Amino acid sequence: MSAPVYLDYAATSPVDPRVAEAMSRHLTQDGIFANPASRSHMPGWLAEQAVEGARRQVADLIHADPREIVWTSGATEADNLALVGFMRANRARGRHLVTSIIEHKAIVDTAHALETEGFEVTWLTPGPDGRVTPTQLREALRDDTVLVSLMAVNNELGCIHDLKALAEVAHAGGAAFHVDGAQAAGKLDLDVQRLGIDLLSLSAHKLYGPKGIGALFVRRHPDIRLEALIHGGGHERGMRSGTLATHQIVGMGEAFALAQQEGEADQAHIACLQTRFLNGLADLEGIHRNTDTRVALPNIVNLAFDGVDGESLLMALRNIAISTGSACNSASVEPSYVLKGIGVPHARALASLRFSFGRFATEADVDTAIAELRHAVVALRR
Amino acid sequence: MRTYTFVAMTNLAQPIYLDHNATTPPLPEVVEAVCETLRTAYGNPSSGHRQGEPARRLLQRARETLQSCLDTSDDQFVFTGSGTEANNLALRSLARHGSCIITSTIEHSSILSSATRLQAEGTAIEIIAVTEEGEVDLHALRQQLSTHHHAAVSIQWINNETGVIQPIREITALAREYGALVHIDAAQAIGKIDTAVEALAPDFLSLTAHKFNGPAGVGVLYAKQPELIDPLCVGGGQQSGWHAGTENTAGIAGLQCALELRYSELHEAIAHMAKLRGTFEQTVLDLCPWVRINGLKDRRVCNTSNMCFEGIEGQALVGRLDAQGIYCSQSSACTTGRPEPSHVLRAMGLSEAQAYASVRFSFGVTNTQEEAELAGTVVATEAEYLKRIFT
Ligand SMILES: Cc1ncc(COP(=O)(O)O)c(C=O)c1O
Ligand SMILES: Cc1ncc(COP(=O)(O)O)c(C=O)c1O
Repeated sequence: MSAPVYLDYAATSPVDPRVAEAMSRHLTQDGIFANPASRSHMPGWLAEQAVEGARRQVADLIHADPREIVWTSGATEADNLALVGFMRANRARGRHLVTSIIEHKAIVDTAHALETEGFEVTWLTPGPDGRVTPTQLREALRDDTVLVSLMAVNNELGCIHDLKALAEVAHAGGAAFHVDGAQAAGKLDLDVQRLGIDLLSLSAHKLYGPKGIGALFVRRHPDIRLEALIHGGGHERGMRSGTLATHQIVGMGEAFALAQQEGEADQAHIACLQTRFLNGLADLEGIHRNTDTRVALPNIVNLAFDGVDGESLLMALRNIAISTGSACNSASVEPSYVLKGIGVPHARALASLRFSFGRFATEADVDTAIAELRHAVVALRR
Repeated sequence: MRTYTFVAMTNLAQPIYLDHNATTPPLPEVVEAVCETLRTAYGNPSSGHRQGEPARRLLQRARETLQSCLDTSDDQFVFTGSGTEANNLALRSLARHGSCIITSTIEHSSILSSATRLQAEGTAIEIIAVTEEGEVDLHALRQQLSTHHHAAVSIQWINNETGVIQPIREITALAREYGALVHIDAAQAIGKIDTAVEALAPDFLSLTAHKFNGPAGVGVLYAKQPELIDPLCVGGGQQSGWHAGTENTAGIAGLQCALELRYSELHEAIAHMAKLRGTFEQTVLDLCPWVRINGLKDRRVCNTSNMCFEGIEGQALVGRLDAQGIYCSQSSACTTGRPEPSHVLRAMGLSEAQAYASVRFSFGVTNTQEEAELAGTVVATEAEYLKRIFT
């Protein structure tokens, strides 16, 4: 049995061989393995240099200063640190947070945890296209709002927020603006200066880097203060203690540098795949696009199939790796809260699948997916 | 940014790395396990489809290896992003379930900083003293346990600076006698002593892969009752909600491999490191009888030698050794950058000058007998040279 066609890039992406190569050089005894916090010897300095090089690579992609990058174990930790760290540090100024109901669980669950700590959260409902409008945000702001958190690109739908307009509204209301950029980095321009982003969560494994490494951009001008979640030796300007994983960091840096060089080409390739995919299904009846492709990245297409059950369809499509909803909730059979959140009816939400494309997907992969999908949908409808 | 190129201004053919308590080089098999995972097991362990399967299997396998190496009957292991994070997670969980946390003056910064933070949030913290030889004072522990009902205890198994092995059996027994929860920071113990956890029955135990030739960035918190865990990161539901976030699969594969390698030859590894440390200390002491060993000499872990070079600046010695290609350090790597005297040595009663005059040498499985001999000679020569200059 050959490996399934992988169209689940939004769950995670294969590691680019060039990234793996860079990582392997930062593990071995004759390479750079030392602790970057070791200040007393040359191997330590070399490790620190590798970490700082990667910090610059990540910063460059989002037009930040390297000193504004805090390493984390992924976007989940970055989201937790941004929300909890910011709300706690700014408690004296206000206790109100604004976010949306279709954010990633790392935001949703963290915001719920903040509610139990005595903070207040306004949960915005996006439109059918998955986006919160600037007007909606303006109406939600209060005198005590200190933070707005909205994702750049939704992981199930691919829809893109108008970050610049939202940031302006947040700032006009005196609030800082956090963005979960896990699905957006390297796929659209995430220039933190131009867009007015104050905090930005990033993950390596959505961009052909390793799992278990991410970063939080923390603006220095004006200075954003965070309370640390993890305390210890005072690494990362005191915001996140713990020995840095040099090879993981180098992997993320390399992945982000590659995205800077090849991101546009990747996106052009992916747009072709998406068009091919949608064209290949165009004549099949009863398909609904949950993704409003006019306002979405081409990377993610979420489709509902009338008259079939999503789980059965997934089972029938054993040769394509895709997902219903997000991978993180795949243990449950509840319909995706994101689809529910944009008003997709229950039955249709249960019959929805997410296809996501990436650097290593080919036209042949797409053709296989089309053929399997057509076959399965027709069979299941009989 | 400053850039460095590796010019060893040394008379040594090969540099000698003697800072294994800061971090260890991953063994070639470990590097291969990490890279193989990066190349092939790229799925998300949370994905239901077939590409998620190898990643899921790998997590399961790592749990089984942890279980057998630590000799515990349960497989409740939470993977974290570092030993520091595992310690934070443990301390938070103790704070939630205990009336007070009892810890010691010589703990790692991840424990002491967490304790300070928890104290600011309202948790009672008691910090007990250690003896001049660097052992936790059991009388003080008993006293605290009898004063605070339902307290919780967090003590390290082995100190990272002196290598002193704490009386962990007595500590866990005392805690149990008083019904207190116990956390053991085993970061420096794994792979360096017999670490049968079942007999100790701690409630929590933390470890980190990069201290036994695994990769950095993978910590583990063992929890006898994981439902006691108060998560640091939420959202996504990974690891039963005790630790959210996509798992570091390649790192965990590296951890698994490193554990398996070390525990298949644990006694040989311990004997090897003990022999090297013995050779090194003997060489230095023969040439410089005025050098003192910090910490209870015969209750130290096999690989660590913390020496007080009374009368000279430790920093100067470390610098000269670095220039020669011998890599060691003054206090724990995590707190360096802040040139303060070691809090561990100060807690043992060393003067500020003595703490500044102390240097830590820590051996690893990849060191050789020749390296130990050569390092001993060079250290002694440099120490004698500095002694003449400083006095
Ligand atoms: C939008 C979004 N935020 C956060 C995350 C979590 O990132 P990580 O897997 O690095 O913890 C993901 C991926 O699962 C995501 O898609
Ligand atoms: C005793 C002890 N505890 C905890 C840690 C922290 O582990 P990590 O370096 O993975 O953050 C270390 C290592 O620095 C240590 O020596």
